[in-house]
Amino acid sequence: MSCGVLDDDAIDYKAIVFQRIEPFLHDLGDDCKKHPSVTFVSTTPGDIRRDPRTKSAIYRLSARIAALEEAESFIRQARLVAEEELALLRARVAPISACPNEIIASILVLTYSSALVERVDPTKTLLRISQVSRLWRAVAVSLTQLWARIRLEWNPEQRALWLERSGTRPLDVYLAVDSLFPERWEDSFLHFSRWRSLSLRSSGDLTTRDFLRYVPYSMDLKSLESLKLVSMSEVSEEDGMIADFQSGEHSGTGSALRHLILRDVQVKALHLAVDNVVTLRLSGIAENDDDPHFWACILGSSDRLERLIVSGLRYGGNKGTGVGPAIPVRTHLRSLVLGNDNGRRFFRYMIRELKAPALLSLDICLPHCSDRYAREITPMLMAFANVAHSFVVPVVSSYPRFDDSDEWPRRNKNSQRVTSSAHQEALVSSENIYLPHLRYLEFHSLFYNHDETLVDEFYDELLDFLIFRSEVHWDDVKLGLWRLKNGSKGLECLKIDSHLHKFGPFEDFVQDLVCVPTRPRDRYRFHELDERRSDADEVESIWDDLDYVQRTTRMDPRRRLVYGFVMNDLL
Amino acid sequence: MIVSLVSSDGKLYQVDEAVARRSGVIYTVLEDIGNQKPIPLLNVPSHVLKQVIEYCEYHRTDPLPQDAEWSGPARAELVRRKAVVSDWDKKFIDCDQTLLFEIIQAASYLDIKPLLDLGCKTVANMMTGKSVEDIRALFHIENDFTPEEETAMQVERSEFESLYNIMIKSMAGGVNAPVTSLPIPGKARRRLRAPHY
Repeated sequence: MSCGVLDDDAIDYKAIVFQRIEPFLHDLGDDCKKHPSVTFVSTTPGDIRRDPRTKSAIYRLSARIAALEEAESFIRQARLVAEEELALLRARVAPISACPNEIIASILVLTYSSALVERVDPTKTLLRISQVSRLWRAVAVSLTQLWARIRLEWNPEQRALWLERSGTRPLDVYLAVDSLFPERWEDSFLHFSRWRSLSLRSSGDLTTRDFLRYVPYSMDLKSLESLKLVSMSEVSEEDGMIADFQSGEHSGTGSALRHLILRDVQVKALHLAVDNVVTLRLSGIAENDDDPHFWACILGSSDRLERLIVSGLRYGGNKGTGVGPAIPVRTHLRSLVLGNDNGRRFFRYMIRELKAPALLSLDICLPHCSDRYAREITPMLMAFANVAHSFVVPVVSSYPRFDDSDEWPRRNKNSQRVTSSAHQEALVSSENIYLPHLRYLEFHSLFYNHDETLVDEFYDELLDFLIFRSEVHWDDVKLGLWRLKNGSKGLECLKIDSHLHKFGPFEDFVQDLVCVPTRPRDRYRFHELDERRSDADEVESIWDDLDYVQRTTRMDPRRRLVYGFVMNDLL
Repeated sequence: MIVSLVSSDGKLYQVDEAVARRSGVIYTVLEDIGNQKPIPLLNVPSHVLKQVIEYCEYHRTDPLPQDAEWSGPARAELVRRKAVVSDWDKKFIDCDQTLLFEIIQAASYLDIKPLLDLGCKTVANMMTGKSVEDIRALFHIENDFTPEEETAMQVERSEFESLYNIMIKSMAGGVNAPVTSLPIPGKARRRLRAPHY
């Protein structure tokens, strides 16, 4: 073995090659002893390249690498097979595999209904649970109730799939589009007789007349029990009105109709449509929607009415005494909600004329009540409350800003639910008006800071539902959160609505902590805070408080589910 | 009155009749045969029966679900209302998967509908928001679809999801816009001025 003498500029290629190859030579057996890096010394790279033994070593190394790669591939495949076998074995002994199909069916139905209640993409959820395994798919496909909710804007293939799988079950049909093209729904039209509920929303340029013209009433909708029409389009006074909701082309509406909800759909008369209706929910429905004659017509023809909800009278006037025709006694009416006092003429008329001896629940909301109006309305309300209160049943009070503010709850000791707006601290802090059955307390528009008597300790023990809505001061909300940690009973529901901009970047946190409905309208308010840097300090302190509350309360995010059932439970 | 129950592995449990009657099956047995002999529960092992008895003990004063009430839409409505599980129930049902499904099967076998609903609801909650793969992994369910079927279902899902996204986008700017932004005719708008205080 020789070693050349190197001048200053020469490179020791032997050293380089040896250093790099040596670790890999151990497995090459005797051949490694003949390796050029060991036996050959050169000062030029060309010598190494020309040497056949170097190439031979590279080939051997390549072959070795290929063999190792093959072995690795084989082992990986073996591992995959083993994993599949393990999964199969696990599947065979998995607890769920022992469940009979009936239990699987119950689980699937409950999963779907949970998605419906929580509004977390029920159709996506349905697709997912029906694609888990062959068994689950077979069970899901056999459950017709899972496939009975159809949106008309789906593509024809999907609609056909749902229509087929829903069997003969009544259908709940939904549509929300800019423009209507009925010819696209021909497949659905074949199933008119199965339509149980229809919900139509328009967000485009359709006038009300267009909107209703496309509603396929002329077809056989004899099973239709529920109809909801919501039009958010521009209403033209000349063109938009429908003379009679039930006349002409709409005369085919089935007599099975029990629930009618109209919002921002302009009609001139409703009386023919409501003769069998038990639930009537109306807002913004007519040019003359505060006219007593209009309402006398409706109430006079709906002798089976059980729930009447009137809110958002768009064109209501504040003047007028509300004198109008007498309303027949509504013997079935059990729940009355009169919200938004735009139409005071209507309100005066209803309070004065409506006789409902079976009324269980009266919910009156007058958010813009002036002092003078309050003084006028209060005696009328009291008279009306006595009628309702003569039954030993809960009376629901939505409480406006009356000067003699404690009078109403004092007269309704059975109140389970109170909605309060403006300065009503006396309502909840005064022992004199302690409401022993109060479960639901809702605050609107509390513009200034309250002290800690806002939610008195009395109510800590009683309340199931605490709702803050619309411009409630943050300190009050904080108080509600603090109460949660101390409440021996614990709230079922804490909901904070319409001032989510206060929370700004804490959307996720708030969603987890409190009961906030996930409505798109609320979401875009978050952007407002980002530009208001002056709120940074406040935001910081909010964050600290929320953090503390989260650590100390036992609020369960799932409890937000409760809110949807609040009204039903109470009424 | 004490009722004797025998689990599938031969263990004897003695419970109050009111507790035992929470089970529709035992209720029927007591009505038909009486309470002379221990009632064998062939499909319920002792560790599960113990749990079931604990549940029935705690809920012994709850109203019994009537047949009419617990069928059809009324039952569905009740189930919906019971979406919120009480703290005790939550703690009770917080167990490993094996026991959970055993309790569910026992509740089904013994005809204890509230317990069955509680178990099924718990399983349903476990699936909320999970993908197909996640659900399979969670419950160790074998994917027994052929690759062709799998591809077809993926297409079905993606088609729907793209349609869904389009719908959401169109609704975000339209249907859910605040009511106050609606264009209202001038005559009507004048009447909509904020009321005085």
